[in-house]
Amino acid sequence: MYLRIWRILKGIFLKLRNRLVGLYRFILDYKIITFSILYVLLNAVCISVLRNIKVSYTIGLIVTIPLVMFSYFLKNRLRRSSEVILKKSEWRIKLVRSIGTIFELFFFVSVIGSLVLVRVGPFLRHESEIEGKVLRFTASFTNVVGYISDEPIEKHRGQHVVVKLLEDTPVEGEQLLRDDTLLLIKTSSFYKLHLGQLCQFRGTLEIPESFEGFDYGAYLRDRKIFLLMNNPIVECESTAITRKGSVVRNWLVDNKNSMIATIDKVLNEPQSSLLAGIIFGQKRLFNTAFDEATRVAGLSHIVAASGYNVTILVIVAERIFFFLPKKWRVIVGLIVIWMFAILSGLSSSIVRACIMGSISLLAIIFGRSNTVHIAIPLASALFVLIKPLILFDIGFLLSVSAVVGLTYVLPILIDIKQKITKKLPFVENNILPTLACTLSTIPVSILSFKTISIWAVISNTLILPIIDTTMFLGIFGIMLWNIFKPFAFILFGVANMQLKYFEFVTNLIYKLNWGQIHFSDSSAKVVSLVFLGFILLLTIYLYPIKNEQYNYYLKTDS
Amino acid sequence: MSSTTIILKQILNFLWRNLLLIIFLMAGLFSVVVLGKDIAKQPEIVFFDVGQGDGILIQQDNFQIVIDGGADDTVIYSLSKHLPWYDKTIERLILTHPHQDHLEGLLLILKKYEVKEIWYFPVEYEYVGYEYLLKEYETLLRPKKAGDYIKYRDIYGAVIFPFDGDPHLVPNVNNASLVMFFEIKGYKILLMGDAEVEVEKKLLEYGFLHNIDILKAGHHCSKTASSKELLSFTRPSLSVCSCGILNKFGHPHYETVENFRNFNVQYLVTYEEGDIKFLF
Repeated sequence: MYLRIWRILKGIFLKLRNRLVGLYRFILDYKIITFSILYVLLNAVCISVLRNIKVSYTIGLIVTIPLVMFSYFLKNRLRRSSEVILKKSEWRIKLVRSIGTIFELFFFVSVIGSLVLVRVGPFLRHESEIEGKVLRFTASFTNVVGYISDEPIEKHRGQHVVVKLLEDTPVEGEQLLRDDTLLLIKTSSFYKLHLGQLCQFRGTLEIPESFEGFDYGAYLRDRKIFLLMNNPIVECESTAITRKGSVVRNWLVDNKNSMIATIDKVLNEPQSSLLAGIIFGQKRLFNTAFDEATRVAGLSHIVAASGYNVTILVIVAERIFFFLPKKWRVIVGLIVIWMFAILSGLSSSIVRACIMGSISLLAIIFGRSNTVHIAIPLASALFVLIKPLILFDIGFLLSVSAVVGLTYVLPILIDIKQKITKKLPFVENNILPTLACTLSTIPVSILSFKTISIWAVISNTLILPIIDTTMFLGIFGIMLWNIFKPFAFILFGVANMQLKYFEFVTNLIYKLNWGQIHFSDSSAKVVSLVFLGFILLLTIYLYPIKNEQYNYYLKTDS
Repeated sequence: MSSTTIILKQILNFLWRNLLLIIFLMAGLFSVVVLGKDIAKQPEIVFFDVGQGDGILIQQDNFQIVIDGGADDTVIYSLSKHLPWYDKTIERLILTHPHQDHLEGLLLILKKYEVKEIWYFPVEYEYVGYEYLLKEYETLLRPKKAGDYIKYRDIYGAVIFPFDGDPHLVPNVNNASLVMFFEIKGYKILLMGDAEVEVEKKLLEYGFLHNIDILKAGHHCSKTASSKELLSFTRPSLSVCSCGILNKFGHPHYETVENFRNFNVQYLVTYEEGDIKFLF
């Protein structure tokens, strides 16, 4: 009995080990993947370490440059010596080779590490400079003029507005520079404020303070906000007279908002907010009870501004145009998601998600399975290179993990389902892709929403099949609203029913009132990492491979 | 196989793949056709649980009157629960007086719903929200005073206070509240806003205020309103106190509650009952 269990465990372990080794070799073999993954990881490590210990980054460079040289020297030395030893016994060659690869990796780490430092260092220094500087602006009543640089965010008591200064402003005898910081303005929610609107705010500048163990300052810092103002006197100019910011973006966002206004004209809360969230990823408010209910049911990610909806669009486009040949389907899919990106105001989260989505679609066109394995890490690394702080943006993490889910988790689920039954095609089409996304986004969900719900999988399976159709009904409803109202009305009616069902399921699970665990800020990070590790290992273990022996060069190499 | 059978098979396949969508399509059509019709509904009045503040909805068919909006966005979610899903128009929005706990939510209603008219009594009062209302929604504002009325099918409502040019209106803005009297299918409803004892005394001249059915007690059932005189004159069968749980003012005040008991008036508090709805 024990022997059997032992054998099974040993089998699992050996398979996992083989796969891990194979994966490791595969990654090392494709230098570009190695580079991308290491860049992303080191970027995260560098930023968190440098921020916390406050060492100057020149010291970092002084340490890493000799490391690079040292490891390069060692790597070459070992390669040469392995050629010498080649004639000797086999295990020595193996040993020297594996030490060689380790040093090669080490060499990579140090090279990329110094690259990251060069990229990240200056702005971290700038950040700490400003952090010291802003303290001096907080004492007195100030008058600032700026324009609204992001869409206002609704809160239950008031709204939050991010403002960019119009010009350098003198505060208490010192200059608050235009590019130093964005301002967060907390004001009453009845003001109708628009992107790009020029406003004057009179009040006292404050430094964000942490509350309930939540480091609010750090959260805002990642958004380049160092100062805020509570309930200032607000005076705004009409957007018809002056409007700042990008003309294209303002127009697109206005366009989006007018479409959301159409939703608001027809549907009530929470259906209207749900639909706006599902279609545009628009962050809206539910009443406190329903908000809590979505969290308990593990459904918050569906309406969070994440670009998760783009992934759904990719899946839907695939399904709706099922009659087209595969290549055309992909092209239509590409057109659909980019049209959608434009419709939703080209917000950065949606654009990111669209790029990631396009990559997975293009990988299908070119058909080479390796393309996608390269494209995902490379694209992520490029995003991080352009904007290092993106790694702390939940939306980015969600969209990357959704794409990873589609590429790696979905084949596993389909494989398992195929083993059980070959019938029921709609399970494969409707339920599994979204389920794959849900599974792969669990770690990020834990990190951002600080809860884990055992209902997440059940509720998502119940709800996700309707989300894609709701999205399409909503989009067509909005488009038809100005052309042929009665028909648009029917479409909204159907969407309304579906969203009522969403509400019903959410509240049903909420009423059970158990099955969710809350985490503190720090433990959420640990749990999310554990989950990530678990899901990664499981994916690596279960990923369907035609022939175990020949994969990842296992056979050819050894 | 002929081409028609292939096409038919493809269509069937598509339907089977999108089974869920079709089910919802049917349900949606049903909801639009059956529930979306203009059904002659009974008139109803709902006192919302909007925390420490007032929020009242009176509606019949697609005609809605909303009186005050509470201090935050709660009223939006409460309205959603009681309005038909396709109706996002509020015919009359009534602001009793410009205190924050009546106006803030009302401004949010203006942001989210289409409003035909706003009724209010013009007083001088310093509050950014009030200034914003006067400036931003100037075209919708209709100043009202005692004598103005509203009628829609079974609903009849009239403003019975303030009188124009009354010297007592300021400095206490509460006493400049629009006091409304409604008669719905023979039931009498008196909505006091935040009006206090001084206003109550003036109302004692109205004969039609005898034997009220529902009284929205003034000023969240504080001790400065719902005096013995008013209760003995109007003899309400039921009274509603609109206050938030654990509010810092201690509303409903024990003296007021005592008054209700003495006059044998049943009283309901919104934070205990939630939204309080009466169908006529």
